[in-house]
Amino acid sequence: METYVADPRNTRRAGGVSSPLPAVLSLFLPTTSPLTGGMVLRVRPRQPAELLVPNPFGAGILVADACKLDDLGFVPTAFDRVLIRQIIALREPAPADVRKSFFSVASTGFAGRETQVMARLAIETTEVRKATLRRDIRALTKEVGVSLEWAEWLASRLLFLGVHSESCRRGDGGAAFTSPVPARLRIVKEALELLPQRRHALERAGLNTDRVVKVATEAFGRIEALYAMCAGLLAQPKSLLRIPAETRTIDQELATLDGWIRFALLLREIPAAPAAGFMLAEFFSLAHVLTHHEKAAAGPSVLGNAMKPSQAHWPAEVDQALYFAERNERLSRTLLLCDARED
Amino acid sequence: MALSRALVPVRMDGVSDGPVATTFTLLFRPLWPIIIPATEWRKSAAAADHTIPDSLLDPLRIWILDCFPERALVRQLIQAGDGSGLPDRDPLEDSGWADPLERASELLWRRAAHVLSRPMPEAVLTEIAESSGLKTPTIEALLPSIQFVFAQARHFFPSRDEVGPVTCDGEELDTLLANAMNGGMTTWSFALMLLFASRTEIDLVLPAARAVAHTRPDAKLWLDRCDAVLAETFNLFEARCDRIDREIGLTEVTERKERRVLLWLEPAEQATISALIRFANRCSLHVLTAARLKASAARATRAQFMLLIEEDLQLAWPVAAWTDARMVAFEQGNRRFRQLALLGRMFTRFVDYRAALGQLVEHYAGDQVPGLTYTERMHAIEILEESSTASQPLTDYLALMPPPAYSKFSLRKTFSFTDTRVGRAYGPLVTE
Repeated sequence: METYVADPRNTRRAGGVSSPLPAVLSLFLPTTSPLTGGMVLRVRPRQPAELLVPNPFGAGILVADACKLDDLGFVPTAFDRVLIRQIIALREPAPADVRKSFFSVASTGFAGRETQVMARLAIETTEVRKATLRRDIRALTKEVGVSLEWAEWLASRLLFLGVHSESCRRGDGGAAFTSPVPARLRIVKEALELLPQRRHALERAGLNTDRVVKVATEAFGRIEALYAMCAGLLAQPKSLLRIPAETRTIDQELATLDGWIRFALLLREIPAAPAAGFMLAEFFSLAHVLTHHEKAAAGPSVLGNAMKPSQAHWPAEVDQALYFAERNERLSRTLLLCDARED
Repeated sequence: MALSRALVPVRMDGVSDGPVATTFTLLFRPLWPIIIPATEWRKSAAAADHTIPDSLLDPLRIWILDCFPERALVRQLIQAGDGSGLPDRDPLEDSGWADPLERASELLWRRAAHVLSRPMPEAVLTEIAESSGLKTPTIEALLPSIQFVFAQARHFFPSRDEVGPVTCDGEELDTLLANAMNGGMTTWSFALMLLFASRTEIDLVLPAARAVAHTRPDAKLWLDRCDAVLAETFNLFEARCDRIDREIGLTEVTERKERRVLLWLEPAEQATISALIRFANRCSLHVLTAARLKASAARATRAQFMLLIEEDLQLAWPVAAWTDARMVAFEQGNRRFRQLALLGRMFTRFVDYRAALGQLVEHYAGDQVPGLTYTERMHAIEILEESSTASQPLTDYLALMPPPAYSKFSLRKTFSFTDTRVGRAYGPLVTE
């Protein structure tokens, strides 16, 4: 008689609890490569990361292996190669890890001296801010009996959003984030004001901006709502007892936050852009990459069929790769400034 | 005439040293297309109403800079040159180092516009007339036009490294041209000459100028001037390129302490030449002169590029770690090299430039410049040359980084010292 030895692991889920959704996270990478738009790293647990890049050869999104960067239609900078390698070496990269790697790679000097100086300052300031935020949040949540774990969770999210610890100490939710407005929220608010005017500048060049403006306005609205929600949490720490259901969505928003900040910063660049058509294409591809879902086929994106401008419209005297790399480094510096400043 | 006009603008201490920044050059160098030698000016009546005799410049400079409150500041800025010796700054408060020379130029132009907007005293006018050898009414007639140029310097003199189109409001350009037209034929000529010779958007400027001219009842007069100026721009640039080519031939390569601040042909000027040539070919206007200009520009830009490369290879860089200002200036200089190579390619083949750039890349990638760190070297290489594959230092660096947590095809081999097969391979060593 043969004996069958069963696998000791229980394959059935205990207690009939439905399994959590596969945790797909789209992490925006603050890259400096000369490509229109930006890069997003899509990560799942226990699977190799995928790199989403606006297709340089036509419309749509290119899904590439994050380990192989040599045939993407553009030349990735050393900064990007090192950044991506650092992130995919992690088992479960989170938005905070991306920022940490961004700081560390920038402070190594891969994006020039000015960025390096800024990154060093950002690291120092973030450390200080982290300590004070933690202390204040713990003090705030201790009274209402929220566990230490959730206090940590909230502190790390607030740190990522660049919230000043003063807002936590006051504990008045309605007025939170108004006296020192977090730098990122300020940029988003500015962008919302700037949008109609800048849009007008592009439309004068005969371009249609409707779709991308719609998507961007929605995204900016979501970011504002995210800040408002955090302000609400600070006002009523008791609600932290209920929050766990929404953690996933918050992390999704955080993962693309810096991407939308870059979008907002790009709006400032419109008057100095060498070619309006390329600028619009960049807005389209950045928004597309940031809003891309895994099940993209189910609902076609309004941004999917945006036309790539012809190379003939680029002024021949300007080195395209050089211009984009330099400009992206400049945008990275502005992004670093959000964390480097004390206010 | 065009040839001699181009000879005037860049005044140098020694011909073999190249352009040097002084208050004089910063003030008047961008005006080169409208300046002509006084001897020519006196001979030709036709040129008299749309050019400035060079003998007027020195007395003007003295008058403009007399009791100049910011004189010391301008001197400091000129000494700061390319910005490698600038003092430390607070990166959080100041967004970046401004180009010191550009800042100095702006101060000087603003001062010139301010001084010339006031009426000139009789005594000064007589003195200037005496030293320049011109008549007082002639000078009085020229002064408002010169004042207009300095007052609108922002439009006429874009930054030296700004190769892209200076996108400005269409209305702004129209207002500028209308104002120039109200200033009379001399101001109109000055404005057109400087716009054509200093900006890459000939496609925008020429139609705007013609549209503005058409609003006049005597439109033909203004249109003719506009066409004449356009035709002359090609000749002017050609003469300038020829002269620069000759001049660079006379320049000796010596070991310098810093990179050159001013070039003979700045990137912005090369971009303008290239845009003019493309415009001519597209519209079939002045095609022959454009072709001549192209040949001449190709020689001049190549000679300049090769000289700059040779000088760079011999530069005495500091051995210790570089300050922030120096590093930023270095990166900026590298971008200029890349830009110059691209612009040079507009006139000839890129092959001519690729080898020279490669030489520079090799130089900075190696150990010749001990002040650069490993990553700084990588960054310098990246700026200088767009290569489709990762550079060697970068490949080495990436090889040292931790491998991806999950990859599609695992190539990692299991290796164990306790494995008997491995032990057998080392058998003789282990047993004895």
